[in-house]
Amino acid sequence: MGSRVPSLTVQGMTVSGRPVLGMAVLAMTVLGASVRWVTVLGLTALAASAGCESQVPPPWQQVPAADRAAFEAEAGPLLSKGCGDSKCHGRAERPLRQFAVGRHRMVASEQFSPKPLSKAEWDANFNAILGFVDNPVPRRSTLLRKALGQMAHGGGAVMQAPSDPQFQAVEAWLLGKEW
Amino acid sequence: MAGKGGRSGLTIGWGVLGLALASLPLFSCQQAELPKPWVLTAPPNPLLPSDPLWSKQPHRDRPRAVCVTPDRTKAYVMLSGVDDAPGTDVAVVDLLHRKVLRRIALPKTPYGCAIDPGGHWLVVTLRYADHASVIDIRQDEEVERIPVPFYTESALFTADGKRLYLANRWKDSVLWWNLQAGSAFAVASTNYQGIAKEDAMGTPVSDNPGPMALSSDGKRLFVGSVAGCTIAVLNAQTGQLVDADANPATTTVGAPKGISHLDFKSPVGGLAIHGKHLFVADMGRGLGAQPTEGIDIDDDGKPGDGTANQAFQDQQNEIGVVDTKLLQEIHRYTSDTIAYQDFRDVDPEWPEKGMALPVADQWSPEVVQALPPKSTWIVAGALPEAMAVQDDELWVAYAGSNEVQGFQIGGDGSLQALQLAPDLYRTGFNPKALAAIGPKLLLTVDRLAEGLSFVDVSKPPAQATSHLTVGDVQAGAFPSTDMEIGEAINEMTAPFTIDGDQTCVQCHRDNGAIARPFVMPLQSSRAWSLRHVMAQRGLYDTRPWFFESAMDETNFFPVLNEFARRENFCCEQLNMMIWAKYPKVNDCLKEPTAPGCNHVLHCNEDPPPECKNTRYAQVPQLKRSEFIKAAAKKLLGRDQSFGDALYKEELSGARKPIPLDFEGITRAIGLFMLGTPRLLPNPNLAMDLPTARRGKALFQMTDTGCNSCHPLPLTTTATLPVPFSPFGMPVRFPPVVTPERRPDGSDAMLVINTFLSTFPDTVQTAAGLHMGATPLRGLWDRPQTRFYHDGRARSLRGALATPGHTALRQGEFGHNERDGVRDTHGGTSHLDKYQLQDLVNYLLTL
Repeated sequence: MGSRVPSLTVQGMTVSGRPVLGMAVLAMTVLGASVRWVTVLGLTALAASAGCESQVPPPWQQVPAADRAAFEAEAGPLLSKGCGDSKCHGRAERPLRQFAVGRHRMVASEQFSPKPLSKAEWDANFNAILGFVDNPVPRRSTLLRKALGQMAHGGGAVMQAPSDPQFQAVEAWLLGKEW
Repeated sequence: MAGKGGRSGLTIGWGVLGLALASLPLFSCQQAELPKPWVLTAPPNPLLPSDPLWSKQPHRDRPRAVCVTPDRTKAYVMLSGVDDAPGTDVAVVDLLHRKVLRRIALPKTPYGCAIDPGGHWLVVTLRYADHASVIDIRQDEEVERIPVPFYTESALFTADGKRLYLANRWKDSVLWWNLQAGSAFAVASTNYQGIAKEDAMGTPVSDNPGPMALSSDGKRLFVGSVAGCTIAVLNAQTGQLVDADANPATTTVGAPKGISHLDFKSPVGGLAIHGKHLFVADMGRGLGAQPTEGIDIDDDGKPGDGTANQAFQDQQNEIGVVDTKLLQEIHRYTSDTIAYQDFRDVDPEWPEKGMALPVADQWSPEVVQALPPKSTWIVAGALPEAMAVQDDELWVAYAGSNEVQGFQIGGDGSLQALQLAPDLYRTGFNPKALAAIGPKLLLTVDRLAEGLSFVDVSKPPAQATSHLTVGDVQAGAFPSTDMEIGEAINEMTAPFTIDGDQTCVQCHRDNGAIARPFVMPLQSSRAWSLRHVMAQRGLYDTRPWFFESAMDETNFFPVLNEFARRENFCCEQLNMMIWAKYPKVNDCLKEPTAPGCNHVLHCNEDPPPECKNTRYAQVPQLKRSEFIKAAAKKLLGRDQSFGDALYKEELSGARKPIPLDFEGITRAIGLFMLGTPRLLPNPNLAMDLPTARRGKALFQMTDTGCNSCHPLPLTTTATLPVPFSPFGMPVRFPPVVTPERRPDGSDAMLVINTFLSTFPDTVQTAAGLHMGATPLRGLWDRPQTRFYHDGRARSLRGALATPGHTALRQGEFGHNERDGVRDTHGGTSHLDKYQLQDLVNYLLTL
């Protein structure tokens, strides 16, 4: 696998990270380099990585412009219904405010109305959701990490795992794929 | 310390500290040991020593694949073992001296392999492990283990060695490694790194991908799906399906748009490339002759399954030739005994015979016209799988008849047979892999023979073959037990079939199932008698078998009978075209001297002259059981069982072996199926995902009702020794979904009297045929595009959902209804789409 820390391959054995820096330090010591520099490098080697095996982050994915129509068809109803309870995100003051059928509505006189959401309400829901998609990798976004309980979230883990169909539906929408 | 001495001391101190710090990481980070793969283990075999059918089975290595070094001096043979005792070794064979040099032990079962073009690295895929092994073949040592998803099965290097493609059976996808240049084996990147193991990975292809081939120009990768019956076409550089390509630079001019899968409607057993031609080994997709009514099985818009006799007996052995630039099939070659040599032959040289047959068996001149030209009837063996190209010759190994056949490849990709039956080259039992290892020299891996065959095709067939044992024959050569006899017949059924062309495993590839249903001779209207292929795994505790819940290890007559019907054997006296003009047996017993009674009563010794004029006259035996016993003697060297599990107990208590006649081979195959093909350990279950746990809760709820008819843990109500009957429910059920009906509205599901008399406890009422609750275990490994007894449901969601359910994706149809009443196959209309998906995800853990 690829690595961003220095690596050296000798006779089929690949070493990377701290051992490489360590060998560099030893070499410099033997060659009579300033002991201060030797020490500095030694400290650097220790701090270079957290373990012998480097953690390779997955490739960044560019989140395509999240599709508004697809939101209204799939992820939107799920998030509206699942998150839009009046105790949770079905409240005007919440940053991730969600309008929902039978719950919080945009027009005051239509509170708890069973009418379908209006275009303006869907637009508002869409923009509110996107405000929490702050990472090109959707499952690393605040939106989905809070849903999984991986970040502090008053509602706790409302989805149990990335394998959950609801999670996959939202992630698929953010990736521009069909679930 | 102060002053000059002090400075020296300080310097020394810094130096020691620096050295200590520097050496700490060096000594604390030694080269990592090879990672320990996560390994899946199958649950214990339910066939226990307490069962009278149990007997100790020999240890076997079961070689199944081979990789040959580019210089053709060494071969690496994968020793996969058996389900109960999976192997762990790779045998290293010196090809020049034809001897086994050593074995290399790996963490789990070697399955497939690939050697890089530079001849340094052997990549071995491991069944049941989540890593693949890399062996440095200069030292024959394992040097790397690379994570892969479970059930990564086959591997293929690109010609420049920079990329390795892998086919994965669990994810039904193609994965790859991009390799770093250098003296060490190093994977620079993969197309699945960072993806959680429960997620989809790689480029999706069809079910259970296996054989792969790269086009000669390296631009296209062809991936054959054994169960899915298609070939996926990928751009070899981007790894995407061809029709997803946006880059015209990598798309061949003139290639049709929108083609990403070539639908072969037939399991793809093997692929080989020669120039711009791709050769495909499969079992054919029917002869083009159509019945006038029936279900459209092969999605060609017409009724039927495309077979002339409208039943699965005309399995073919075929080779297709695809132009890799045009992505079109340009030639097809079929079995030398087409439409199986049966008394109901569809024979273009005997066109008038068809209408003289009994009504149920008649075929019309139109059927004859639908046959391919006889010049294409050149594929002589049974179950073509492994293929190899050498110069302008294509060599094909037939795993079902233990033979190799060569074809001359023409400039247009056409094939001319170099040998025809009965002059093919013989191999050991069950050749599953083939490689060209020298001019006119082939190597086969003979799985059941525990060895290799070296076939010198410059010599006549009788002198061409020598064998080398690489596996375990300490307990004796295969077969050495009654269960092994059953395995032999299951894999090498061809000699027991009337045309020598058919095998059980043609449809039950790797003891599984394929995504193509077949018409069976069960229902009164044969064209409607469609049955999906069931897997041969996990059968011990799910008897009686089949959708009808009728058959067990002593009797699966409707299947086996089709391979060699009694009507083909003159003295069975069932061919009415001959025997209608002779007296009946009872009449002859009363008056033995009546004209013709000599033939009726003493047929074996004095057959009627018409017997010589039948199309099967070359078969010397006049009765089926004699034919089968003779086939057993010729293939296995014996015409009776060993007696360790199949025996007849006499009054004295002595046990005598049983003859390997029709009943004997039935029981042998049944014994094999009870004890050997096991459910593959399920990686979905191993992950224990929340969605599956929720799905299990739904499965067990009374308002969905799944557990009522598919009770856990066996998921079926058909169990032995006592039929399981929860809550007083019957073991068999009337149709739970709308039955097939003829255009006039009559029930097409009613079975024939022969079926009812063969299985007397089968239930049939005015409601139609009653079926058992099909076992659901192993669902994850079955083709995901065919469910229900007739394969009508094209996804699991389609099998569970009511029509119009929100869970259905585009193109899916919900079948959970009967005659417009919903929720007749469990209650699912109240589930939302996420709950239904949870239920699906649970079923995939069974």
